[in-house]
Amino acid sequence: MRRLCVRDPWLAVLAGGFSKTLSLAPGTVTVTNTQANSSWVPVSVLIRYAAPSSGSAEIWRISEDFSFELGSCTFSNVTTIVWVPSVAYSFGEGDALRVMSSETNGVVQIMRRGD
Amino acid sequence: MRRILTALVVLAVALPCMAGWIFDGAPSEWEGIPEELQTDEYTFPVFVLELGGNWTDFELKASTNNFDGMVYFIMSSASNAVADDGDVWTYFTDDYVADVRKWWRAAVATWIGGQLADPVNSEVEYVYVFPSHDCAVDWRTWMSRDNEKLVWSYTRFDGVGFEMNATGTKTHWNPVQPIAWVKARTTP
Repeated sequence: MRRLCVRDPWLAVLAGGFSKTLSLAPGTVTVTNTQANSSWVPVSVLIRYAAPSSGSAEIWRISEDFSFELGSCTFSNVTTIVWVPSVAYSFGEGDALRVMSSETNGVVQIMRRGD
Repeated sequence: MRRILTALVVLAVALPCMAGWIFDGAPSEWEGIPEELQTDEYTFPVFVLELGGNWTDFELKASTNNFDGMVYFIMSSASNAVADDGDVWTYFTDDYVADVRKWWRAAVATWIGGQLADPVNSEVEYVYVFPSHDCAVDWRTWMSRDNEKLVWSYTRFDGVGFEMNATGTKTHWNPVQPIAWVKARTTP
């Protein structure tokens, strides 16, 4: 099995934007853009569980009362998960990025940069 | 500091190509990720060599040009041992010890027959061989499951003499391939 030579902190450094770390305890974590005059794009979503875990995770965009699934995965016996979007989804005022995880013992860090 | 900057530059190039999910550092897709950012964790080959009878020992060689030259050479022997690998682990069982199921690790470059409880009657049917990364030829240049040029051969040995062909004019060799590549070598 191959692995990336780099680790998550490098992703954070390269994001060159800002991050927000939240507990996964609720199972669903939502970050909403409340800024009227700025928008941002997610660079990556990093999930870290307290212990090797199995389950599923989903990334959603909530915009104008519509939900769009951006990605989903199932995983087995892993501690860290990183999601990197394939395109730059722009989040304007009122748009929200939602992370859902079946395993709730951990944290999620959402990396963003200004659009 | 220079290494950090280099890593950042490489990543800056790589990340725009990379999308999707990464599990414990292993991307679900490797497309678009530069080779230099990929490492293989399964770098230790594992061999099972059939010996049996008087054959308690062996000679194992590897080549990346079909034995025009060699990249690996080990031989356990009572008189002329060779260890291009200073930390190869060879496991055997001994049917004359108290617990005949137990794995025993042979001393490097040492006659296995002489390490048996009964050097005359003990039989070594098979050995597990775990080459190490402590090789005379830098393992990173050849020891890889992705190396399609890498071939291995072994011959059986009784500690003094080789197994020979029918007329006794040449040693008898067998091709062999790793049964697995592992992240860490078995250590009972």
